[in-house]
Amino acid sequence: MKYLHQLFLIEEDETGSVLYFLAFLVFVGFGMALGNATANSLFLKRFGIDYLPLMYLLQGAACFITSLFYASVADLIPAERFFKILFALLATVVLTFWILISSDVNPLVFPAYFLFYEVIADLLLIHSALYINQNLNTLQAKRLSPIIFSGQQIGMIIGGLFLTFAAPVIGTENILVVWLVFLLMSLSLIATRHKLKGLSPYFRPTRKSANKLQHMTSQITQGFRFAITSELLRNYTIAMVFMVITYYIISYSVKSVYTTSFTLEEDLTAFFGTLAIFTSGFALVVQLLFTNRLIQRFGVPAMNLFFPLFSLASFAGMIFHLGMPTAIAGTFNIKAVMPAIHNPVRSMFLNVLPQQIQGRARAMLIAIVLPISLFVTGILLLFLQELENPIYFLVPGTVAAALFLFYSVRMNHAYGKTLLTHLKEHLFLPEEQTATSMRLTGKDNLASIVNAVSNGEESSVSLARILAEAYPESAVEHIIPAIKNAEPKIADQLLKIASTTNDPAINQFLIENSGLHDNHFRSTSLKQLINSRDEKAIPLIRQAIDDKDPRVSIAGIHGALSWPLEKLHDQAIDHLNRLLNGSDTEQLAAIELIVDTGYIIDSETRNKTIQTCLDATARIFNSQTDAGKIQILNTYRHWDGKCGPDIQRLISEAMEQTDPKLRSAAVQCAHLLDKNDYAEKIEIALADGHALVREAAVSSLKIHTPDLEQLAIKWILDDNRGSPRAQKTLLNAIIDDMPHTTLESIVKNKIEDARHIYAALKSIRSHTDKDNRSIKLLKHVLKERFQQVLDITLTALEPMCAQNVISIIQAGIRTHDDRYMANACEALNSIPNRKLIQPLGQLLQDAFMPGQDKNEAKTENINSVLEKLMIRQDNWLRECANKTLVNIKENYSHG
Amino acid sequence: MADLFDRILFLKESSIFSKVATDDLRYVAQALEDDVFFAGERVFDINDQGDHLYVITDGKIGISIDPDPAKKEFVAYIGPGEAFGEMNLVDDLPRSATAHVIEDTRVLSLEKSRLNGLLLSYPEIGVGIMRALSLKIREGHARQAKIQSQKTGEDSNE
Repeated sequence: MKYLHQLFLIEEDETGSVLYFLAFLVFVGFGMALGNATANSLFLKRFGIDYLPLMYLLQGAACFITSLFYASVADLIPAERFFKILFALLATVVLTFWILISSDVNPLVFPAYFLFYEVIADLLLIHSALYINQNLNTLQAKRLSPIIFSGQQIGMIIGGLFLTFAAPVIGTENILVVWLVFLLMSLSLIATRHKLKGLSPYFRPTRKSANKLQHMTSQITQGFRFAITSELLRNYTIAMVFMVITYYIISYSVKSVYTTSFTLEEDLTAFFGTLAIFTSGFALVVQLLFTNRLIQRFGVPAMNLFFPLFSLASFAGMIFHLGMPTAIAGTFNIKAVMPAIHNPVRSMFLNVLPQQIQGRARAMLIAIVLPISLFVTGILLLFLQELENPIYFLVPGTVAAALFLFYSVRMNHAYGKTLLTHLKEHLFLPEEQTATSMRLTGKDNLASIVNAVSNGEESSVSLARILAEAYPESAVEHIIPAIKNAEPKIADQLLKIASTTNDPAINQFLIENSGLHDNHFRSTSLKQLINSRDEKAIPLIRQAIDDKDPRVSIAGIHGALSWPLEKLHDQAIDHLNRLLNGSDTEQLAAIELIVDTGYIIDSETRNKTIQTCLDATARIFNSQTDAGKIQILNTYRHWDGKCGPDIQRLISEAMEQTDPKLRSAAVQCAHLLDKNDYAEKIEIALADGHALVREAAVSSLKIHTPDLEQLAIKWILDDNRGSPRAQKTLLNAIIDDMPHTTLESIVKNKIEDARHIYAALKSIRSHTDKDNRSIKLLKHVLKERFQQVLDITLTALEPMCAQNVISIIQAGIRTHDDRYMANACEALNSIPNRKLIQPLGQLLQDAFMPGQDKNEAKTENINSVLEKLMIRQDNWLRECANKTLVNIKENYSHG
Repeated sequence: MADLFDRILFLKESSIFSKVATDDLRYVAQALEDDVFFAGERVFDINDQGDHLYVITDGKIGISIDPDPAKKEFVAYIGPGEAFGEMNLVDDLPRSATAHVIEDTRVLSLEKSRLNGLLLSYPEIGVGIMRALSLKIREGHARQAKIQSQKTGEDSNE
């Protein structure tokens, strides 16, 4: 059994379902073999091949009507329910035809029966594909579709065998009764299955509408619209037009050969049966043993070209000589190659379309494409039938096959793109909202944003930010009225945003309105004037130094020192020293000026001021609220001087606090720690659970590391240092400037690392002591690490792929939803750099589809695995491995 | 349950923290407190203002939704690895049920304010909890659908 599972790539828990679908399609296939042989023999022998082109025209019309109906209901009800209704109807119709044929009422019953079979055969095939699709995800479909659809071939073979022996005995018309029995058996099978298992798991009903006609029209319109807008469906549709023409010209050609070769109706029926055995037998072997492997080896797009190429070859053969050998070869192409290879592949193309549109797309194809193509083929053959030489319909057939090949190539191009687009839509990944895109949206948008900014409410801050980014040349004129109207706190934020535009109009406004709002705002506006070095601000600075409010006073001192304004220098130092020895609030404000101490001209005064600042910090830091501590740390962030162990201890302690803002502020001061401490603390911060702290670590590294890129490469590539989260933070910080060759090295390295982790996980899983809690924890950690390392790999791949491709794939994998994960793995194969992608795709398949892991049985001794894990530079993983090893040794010594 | 590793594993295998990364569970594990309830006691009553989330490490709790907290008509039983009291931490509403101690029960409890602090400090913990809660809702929906389809089957058989 295990051998069979491995041979057919079936996982153990899928066995029951695969057997059911296989049995179901055996019944369907058996019925189709009987229907096909009886419809063709009765029509060709009792009515005549001359009417076949006309039948194609009628078949087009019948398909159109059936499809319209199918399109309107396909996505509304579960596929199994539709099948139940369909089988009940078919059984009734087949019974009616048998009665009419037996009583020899009217010869028109033969074309009617032919027409009925042709329409029903298409509907059965299309709906079977939808039914299977509602029960499998993409990866399962890729593996299992060929095996499941082989059921149809098995049914055809059994049907062929039955026909070969039974047709001459019971007569062609009585075979309809046998078909009727099988229709009823199919009905009971599907009803029993879904009574036990419930609805198809991937069925997503569309909304029901009260007005059926309106609903039907809207369903069809949506299908149409989608066919027009989707590049994949558009090319698929055109390819299908040429495929149908190709198919029916081959079919017509071979039938004309068979009709002339067999004189008796029963012989022709038996021949159709024998042909079905061989074509279906061939299709079955290919489908069971080769199709899925070929698809996995060469990919869906390459396999999509197989059938068009074979069709071209068939026409070439028939043009060379139209007789039994080439007719049989042509039949093999359309009856064996098409169902064994082309149908499963074609179904996968439709699988990547949005789930809710697949049924409608399929229905549109048979409602529009099939009828049009049949009309074209019918008219073409009607016209060409008059000409005696078969070359007249074989040459247009060859042209159709060539165009079929051409549009199949275009379909392949659209496949990867569509896969990503719909995955993205499913996962609701937002488009990047950039200022540029806002700018492109035009004046109406600007007017509404300006209006919202000017009200000075809280929301105006974020809108002002967008405005300043999108329209830096005119943003200030819109932000100024908002500053006037807003609360001081909001006005302060708006002022900071306005200052980013470097528009001098904001300075003019601040000078003219120096008394606006509170002291906090005054201090911010003074800093803005100082930073812009606007001479008109000097009187305001002089005035501010002596202000009673320490915040305003400090802003003035900062201006005098950092400008620097020599005339105000001494006044500023006096006032600074007074504040540093003043109340806690004054000291807190004064400490901010440590960054300006470099501007103090006299070295003795400078050293004394620095020491006073450091003393004040050590004195007041712990009594401050988190906001106060952050304020102090934000000051030290800009200071490059030395500080003693007291301040270092304060920074280290702040890094361990729960408030992420405090941790982040402390990390920004980590450069004041000793060199080794700095590296250690930054590594911890890079792996912090809050993005703000991680960003602070990166920002600190950017300022205080001579070559961040080199450091990152060393950590990620050479040393594999830190947790995956830390490595990913580093990678994100430098990825934009990294050459593709380095990124490729990272991808290769991380795939290898992920493979090692996966191997370790498999070895740990196979350990006999399943209840050991350390082992259990280690399993969880390894599983997480595996996913995280994969995430880094995909991040490193991102710059080498089209925009958003990787983030969509990552989002798909993170959903842990089978269907999206499967689509994400499939999308990965659409990335052009196959050499780089192939090992990753293989790893993902091994990990997410364990049944296919070729190295599944190979596991390593647990002690050796743990020892390897313990030399990794990932603290948490190392700790867990160490704990497990100690635990195992303890258990061993006790037991 | 003194061992930090053991607590982390316990949290990882509990319904509510199963989707939080073990790296982040280190912080949660440190914020938890051990507590014991004895058979016959009630951990909390319906309409109480809740301020703790509990994860059972050992024992059994019965959940009753009767307005009278003394009544022992249980709608669910909760055992090791399962969490209770988590709804209140998210929605701030009074307790929607009474938790009766059926067997002596050891729990790990997490105070609401500490959880809030953790969520602010390590947002990915919140994302993990959200995913676990969403999974719980999905499972609830699946159970409901199964019951409904069984009911429909029975009706059509009749």
